[in-house]
Amino acid sequence: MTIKYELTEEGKKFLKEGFPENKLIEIVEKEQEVEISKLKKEIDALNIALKWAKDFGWIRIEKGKVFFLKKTDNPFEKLLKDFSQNKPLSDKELTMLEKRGLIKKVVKGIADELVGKEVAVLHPDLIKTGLWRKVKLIEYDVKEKVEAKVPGKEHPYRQVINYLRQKLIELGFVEHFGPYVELNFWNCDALFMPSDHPARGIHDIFYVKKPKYGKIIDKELWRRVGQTHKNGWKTGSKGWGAWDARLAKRLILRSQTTALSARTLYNLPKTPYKMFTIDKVFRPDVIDAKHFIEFEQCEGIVVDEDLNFRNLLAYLKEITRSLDIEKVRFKPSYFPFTEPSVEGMVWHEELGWIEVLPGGIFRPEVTLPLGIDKPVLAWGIGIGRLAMIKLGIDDIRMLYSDDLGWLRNKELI
Amino acid sequence: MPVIAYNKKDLLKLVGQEFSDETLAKIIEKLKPEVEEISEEEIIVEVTPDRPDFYGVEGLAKAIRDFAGLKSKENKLIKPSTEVKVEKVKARPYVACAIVKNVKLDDYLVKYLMNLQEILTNTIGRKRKKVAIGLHDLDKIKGKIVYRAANPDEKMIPLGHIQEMTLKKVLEKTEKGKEFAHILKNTKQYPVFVDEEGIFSFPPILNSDRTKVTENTKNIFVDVTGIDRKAVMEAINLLAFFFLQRGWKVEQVKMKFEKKSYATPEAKDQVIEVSVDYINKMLGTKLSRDEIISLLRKVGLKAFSDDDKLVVVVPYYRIDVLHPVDIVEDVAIAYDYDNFELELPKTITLGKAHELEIFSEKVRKLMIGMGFQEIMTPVLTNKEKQYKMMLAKEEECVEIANPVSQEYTCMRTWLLPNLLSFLAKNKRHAYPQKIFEIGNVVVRDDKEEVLAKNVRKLCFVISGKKGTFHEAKACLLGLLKNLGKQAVFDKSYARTFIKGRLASIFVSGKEIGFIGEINPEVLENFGLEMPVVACELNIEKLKEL
Repeated sequence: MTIKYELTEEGKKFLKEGFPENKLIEIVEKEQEVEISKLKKEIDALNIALKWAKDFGWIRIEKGKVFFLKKTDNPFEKLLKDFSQNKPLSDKELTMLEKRGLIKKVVKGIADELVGKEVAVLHPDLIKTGLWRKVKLIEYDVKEKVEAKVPGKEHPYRQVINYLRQKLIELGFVEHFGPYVELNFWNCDALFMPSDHPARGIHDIFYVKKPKYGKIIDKELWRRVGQTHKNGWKTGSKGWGAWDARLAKRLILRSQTTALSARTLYNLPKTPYKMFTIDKVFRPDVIDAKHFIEFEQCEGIVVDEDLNFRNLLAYLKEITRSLDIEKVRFKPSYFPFTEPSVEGMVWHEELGWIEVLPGGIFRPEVTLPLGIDKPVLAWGIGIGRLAMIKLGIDDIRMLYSDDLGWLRNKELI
Repeated sequence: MPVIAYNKKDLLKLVGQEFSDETLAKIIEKLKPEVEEISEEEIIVEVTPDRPDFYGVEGLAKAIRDFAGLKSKENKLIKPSTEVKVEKVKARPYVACAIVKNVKLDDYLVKYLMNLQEILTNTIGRKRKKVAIGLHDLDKIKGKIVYRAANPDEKMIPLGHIQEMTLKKVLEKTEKGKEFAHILKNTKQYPVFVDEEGIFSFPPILNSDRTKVTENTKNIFVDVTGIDRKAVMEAINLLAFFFLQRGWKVEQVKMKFEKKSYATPEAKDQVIEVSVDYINKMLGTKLSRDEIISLLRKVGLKAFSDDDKLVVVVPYYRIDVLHPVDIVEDVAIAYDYDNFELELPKTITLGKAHELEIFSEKVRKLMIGMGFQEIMTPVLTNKEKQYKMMLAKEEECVEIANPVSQEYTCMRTWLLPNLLSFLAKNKRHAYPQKIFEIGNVVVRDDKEEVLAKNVRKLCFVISGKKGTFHEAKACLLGLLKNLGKQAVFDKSYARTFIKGRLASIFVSGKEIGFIGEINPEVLENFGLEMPVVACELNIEKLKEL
């Protein structure tokens, strides 16, 4: 941006018609003595002419009359002429002209250079100077192909998870988290899975290399759980007839979020209480389109007086409804820690009935040793499967997609 | 869970009534197993492990019969006429036998018996370790039967062979020997059944060729051995149940120990008391005592009333029943899950998101606002990627004792390596690439019950020609400012980063992470060709400051 000067309207007029004081002095020189009233008829800007003529020492004014003294060059005349011919002037000279209002400062910039041209971009200077009126804003080809912008986004899987979280919070569930490295005790034993249960082997659970064993915080709890396995303790159960306490101490990567349900029951803040979690579990498996060795589970428990099987089914239905699934069916199922157990199946237009909603009422062998004497409804959602349906993908690996292109282009759910 | 292919013809013959495929599938599913496929020949069903009495087609047939209200004949065991002398066998101390008489076998049944034995030993037998089963042609067994320990040099002709070989050779040379030798790895006293002619069974490995069951077999000798008395008895009971349901005559065998003796299979029912009130309370129903009794009959349980209490006879083959609550489920199954009226309890509770998740969500929104794409990567990784490729000092991390892939052998202690390998896989996509992940890492911590803990972290990277340290720092400042935090930076050094381009980040005097430009040598390790600036923060810590 540069600062330039240009002629004012007055400057232009005087350049063309001459200065009023010059006209004045010509008349006064000829007459030597002139009545002001007479001059009024001859000269437009008389006051200005009188002021400058007096300042230059050309005239004397007395009793309504103007008397001639001398005639010298008008300094403004040369300066104005030089300015109009673009001859360089000093700052002082420019200030003189500016002060008299013959020239004015103008901000000269891009805008001026664009005047009269066709332009694409409406430069802010064009708007500020009003020069937009003097340019031609060209028309665009609005059908032209343009590369799409890349917005920052949530991961598609995150969208599904957050959608579900929101729904569960609305249903009155409190969110909890638990550790990925877990004691076998919480993952299996507290859930009344027998020590030699097939799902506890190295093909179903990741074992920690070292250190191998965790801590026993509450010995009394361990005794109750152990007794329940061995002979049922006070639960009214026969028990499994055996318990491997050392195996219970073994550190593993949790294979089910139910480990957190057991922990939550043990530390239950109050009743009634509803807990949920959506978090990772780990299981040795083949790695292919349908299986991965870590995945998210969503699970919840409801603790209250007098809860029953009908309540459980109603909750399962409510949860699927909150996911916009209306068609639900229930069939008997088996989990070591619940009885009765149920599998909720939802209807999918293309896949038919799919199992996504296991649930049940925790066995007394689970709840009583943890100090809970009320019914506990428990359920889980196969969230990976649900997310795959919701996102329209058929490869589980897409949930942890390495493909930036897919992430950038996948529309929001 | 075992998936079992039942022969449809055999199943319907045992049920004693024709059903359409649809009705059959419907009944089976109401009983709990899941029908996967019905073809002309077979019906393929996934059976839950609590019901091993469904592992045999005879057991499933009985359950269908009960559910459909058809009568079942009750066959009793015959008292023992055969004795097995049992010596001390340390490796497999528990043993039970049975005899099945006057059977008519065909090709299908011989194969079926082998398959049944396989299913039982794989499930309740825990792949033969806990329980192994052998079936033999009784008429090929000569004289007195003894169960004893044999030394590895004793000989037998294993099934499918013609040459005699030592037990040691059986373990080394035969297919089954190689598969199951590990079960006997701690002993040189091998369990065997012998008769006058020598070893005819080598549990849990192989039977002898001499006593193998064929289509011509008329009488069967069953041996069950194992390391758990309860499981051995359950297995012989289940076999007796299946054979009796088929209409075969099952005879007990007297197991004679040095000082005691008993007959197997015992097949003893148990009784369990359940109150009507308990059942109704659990199910939310108002069933009368008589209604419950008739419902229980539908699932094969006899019950008698004793005031408010029901005395339920749990048949010996229902090994899943441990507690009255198991009877409650049977009532529910008989009542039919489809018939329950749903009812939400009235209690109101207040839902709440976890504080860490609320904070993570704020961080996520800000990162997205600054144009970053969220990614989600696995927690499981490997030390090569976590440390070596990063030129970073190896940290003590949680490693897996039984990994399934070299790619996933430990848990991540920082997020950055995953973000770099993500960039490496996306070199074909437009730059700049701005990505972030909010996720848990797992670090060792001896203060914890599990000696480790999850830590929530944020990592973001900018990759592209103009990916400068200052741009990343500007993003970080934008993030922290909007979280109401002020950062102080301190020059730091680590080989992962270009010298002089790494800073530690402090908030309220606590170090919460780093920001820096990646060392080109690390870029090369990952196959990256664009500069990368990265920032990783412990947002769990940040939240508290």
